Amino acid sequence: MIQFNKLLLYMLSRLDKQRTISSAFHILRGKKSAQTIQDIHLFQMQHVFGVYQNLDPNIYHKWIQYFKDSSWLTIDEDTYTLTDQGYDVLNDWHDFTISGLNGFKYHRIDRKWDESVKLLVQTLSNLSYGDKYFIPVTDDLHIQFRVKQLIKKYQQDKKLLTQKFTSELYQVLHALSDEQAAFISKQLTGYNRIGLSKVQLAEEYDLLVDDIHITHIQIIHQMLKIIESDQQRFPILNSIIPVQNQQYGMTESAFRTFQLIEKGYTLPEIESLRQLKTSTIHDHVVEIATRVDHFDIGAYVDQKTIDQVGQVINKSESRRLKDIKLQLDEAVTYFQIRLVLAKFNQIKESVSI
Amino acid sequence: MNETVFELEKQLQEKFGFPAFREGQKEIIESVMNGNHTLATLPTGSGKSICYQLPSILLDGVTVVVSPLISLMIDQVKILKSQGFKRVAALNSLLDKEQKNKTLSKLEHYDLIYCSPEMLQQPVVINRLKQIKISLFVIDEAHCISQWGHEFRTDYLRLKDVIKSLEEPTVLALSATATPKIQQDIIHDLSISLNKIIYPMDRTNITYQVQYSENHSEKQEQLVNIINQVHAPTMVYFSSRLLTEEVSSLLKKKFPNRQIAFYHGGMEQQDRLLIQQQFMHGQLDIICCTSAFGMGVNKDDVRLVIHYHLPSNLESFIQESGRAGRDGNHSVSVLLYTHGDENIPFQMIDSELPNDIEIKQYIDHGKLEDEEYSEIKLRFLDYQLNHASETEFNLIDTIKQVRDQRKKVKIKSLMDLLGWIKSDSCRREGLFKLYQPNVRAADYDCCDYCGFEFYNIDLNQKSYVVNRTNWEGVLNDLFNGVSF
Ligand SMILES: Nc1ncnc2c1ncn2[C@@H]1O[C@H](COP(=O)(O)OP(=O)(O)OP(=O)(O)O)[C@@H](O)[C@H]1O
Ligand SMILES: [Mg+2]
Ligand SMILES: [Zn+2]
Repeated sequence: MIQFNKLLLYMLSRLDKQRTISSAFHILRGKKSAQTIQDIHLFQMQHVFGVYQNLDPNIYHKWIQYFKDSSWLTIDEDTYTLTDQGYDVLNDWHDFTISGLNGFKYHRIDRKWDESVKLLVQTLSNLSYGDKYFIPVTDDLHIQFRVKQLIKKYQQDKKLLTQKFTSELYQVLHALSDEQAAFISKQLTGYNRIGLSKVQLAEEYDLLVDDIHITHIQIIHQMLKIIESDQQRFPILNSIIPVQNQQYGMTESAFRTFQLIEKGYTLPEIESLRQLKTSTIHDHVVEIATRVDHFDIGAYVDQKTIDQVGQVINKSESRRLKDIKLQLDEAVTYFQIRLVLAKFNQIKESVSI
Repeated sequence: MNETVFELEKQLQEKFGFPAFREGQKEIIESVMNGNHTLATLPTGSGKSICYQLPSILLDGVTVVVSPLISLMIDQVKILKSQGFKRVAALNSLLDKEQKNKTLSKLEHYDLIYCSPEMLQQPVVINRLKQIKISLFVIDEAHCISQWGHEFRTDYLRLKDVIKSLEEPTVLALSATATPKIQQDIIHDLSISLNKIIYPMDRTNITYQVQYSENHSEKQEQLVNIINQVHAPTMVYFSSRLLTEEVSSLLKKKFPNRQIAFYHGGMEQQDRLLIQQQFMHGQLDIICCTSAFGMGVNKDDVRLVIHYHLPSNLESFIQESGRAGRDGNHSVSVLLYTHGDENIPFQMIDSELPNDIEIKQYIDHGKLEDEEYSEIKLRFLDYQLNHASETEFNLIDTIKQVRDQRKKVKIKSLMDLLGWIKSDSCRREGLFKLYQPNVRAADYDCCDYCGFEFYNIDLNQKSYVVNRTNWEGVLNDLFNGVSF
């Protein structure tokens, strides 16, 4: 079991005096900004990237407050410092380990895979009791679709599918510790038995919901590693791993640029690496900003410029770059205007639905 | 005639697995199947949905159901699909563009389409509906059209034009809380003539009880006493999220052998689904919840509904206590009241409506700070803004006026509820006398005023405990002993 406060203090110790207090938050949530991506590589925190994607900022701040109140850290102007006391506590937790977490590798697929497994368990369980009708444990239509397709493939012999699947599930759980296997099994829903919620698990283990979440993700990462390393033995569990990156609907080339940005490369670096013109790379970045909701343009335009461009856009009817540029400081580049426009349109689109 | 009656019964059995119609269902179904516009009332939980679900399968063409609450609509579609009905869909603002277009493009392939009223204001939707054959147009919770239906009134008022532009398909308006005055409003506001099929709306299998207490610790004691005496599926309603959690953990300590959980709108979606399903499957005894729970909860054997806090008005009370005893067996509704309890709903009226600053903030920035009620406020503001074209000149002042108006209506309904709590007469009479000329006698005990007391009631009915002790055993249970 991973306790969240330990994980957080460990992360904070790595960024001690180097970054702001919210850097760890962004890493946990898996923020796709150049800064965060660069940070996780710089401070070697890839394994915790995106392991708590729905972490509530209020909860995060409560934890920070708690650390402050316990005198484990102090907040300074634009960074923070872990106190000796903070380090002592950290050292006392010698049994603490985060091995098994592999956020950078799995953050895109872990939760969806988990949901797929749960839905498959629920479906096959109901089928093995002859019940076709139940309310699915996940509302995600893509997951429902893929599980249905898998079952269709075995239309003739669902029993065979159940047998194969149970055997895979048994083996992967067996490869974990008994405690971990139990942790997973308690969450499973099937015929006439509904799994435990996170809150109920927290009660059962006398832990916090945050602890349950991280522990769960860690076990999921371990399971993914096990099944990925032996595809022959776990064909079904592998087949429900979500297809990665529909590339957000980008062109192949822009997507490759995006992958490099995510790995922490700067634009000039990508330019020379890919042997492309600056203007092409800029086109890519604009495309990425348009397609990827959570892509942060902050690395390329500062907030003040964003606000200025935003105001001009709001005021003027024209979307012609030249018209907009004329109303701005000369230092603002076309590239920057296009980035702000990209984000601006994104917001508008999501409001008008 | 006899033949079609036989037909209908057979279809009910075949499609829904019910051996017989409940009171009123057949009459309503026949009325709409014969193409008559119909206004029908039946009590809460009596099976109004069947009155359009069955016709939707039997009639060719599409049945459109207007339903005010999106969460309710989604749950109903989910339940129907889980029962094997494939040709159902929901059109609401939660769909993304792609999903919406997909649903719209396949419209004629559905039997049943649930639709939120504001969706019917969109030209794309209306134009698509015009192209297909609509055999039945259902207005669920039709009382929303009257001014006491506050929240959704304006949207509901526009249904008249929608019906006209669809060339007047057969209309069915349904409600469990429509007084004669509201019935008149419905007929007037739809401006079509409706065949009225008015069944009494009182629930004869529910016993009503109001219990007073001096203070909160006494109230808690009363709650514990009741729970101690009744071992059966129980819902306890609260108006605060925090209190669902606190009381749930208190009850767990007092009753270690019962399965107890809490449920509120602030929980993660996945957790909500699991808790709801545990309750439905009889794996929980007691659920401490806010009104977010229960919308789509179709659990037939809820025996006890307790209101720990006041609901916002008598209508909500009837709807919420109406979750009890859908199977027709004896059930009890208890409202626990301590002097001063009304402060919460009075404050709630304030906190659910935006204040002046928030109105300005929304107009200027298009958003609000995130807090417990921001969703409700946003719904109000979005609505006002979307319909602003008619009232444009001074947007902020207009919205303020609408808000104040609504506040007045809400305060009045809360006062009515308080009047009922403090009245010295039969509870059942007081609850339903506005709705029907004669309130029927209770099937079991009537109410506290008529002499009901808790200790002499036996509702014993226990939850089923799921074994989760060792993981291999769990797998074995899950897959019916399939070997692995
Ligand atoms: N003819 C019938 N025989 C047995 N059960 C029935 C019959 N008709 C409906 N039911 C059951 O009654 C329950 C209540 O149905 P429904 O949700 O339609 O009630 P309602 O009148 O719409 O309630 P509410 O006023 O709360 O919306 C459901 O569980 C349904 O399956
Ligand atoms: Mg209903
Ligand atoms: Zn009485």
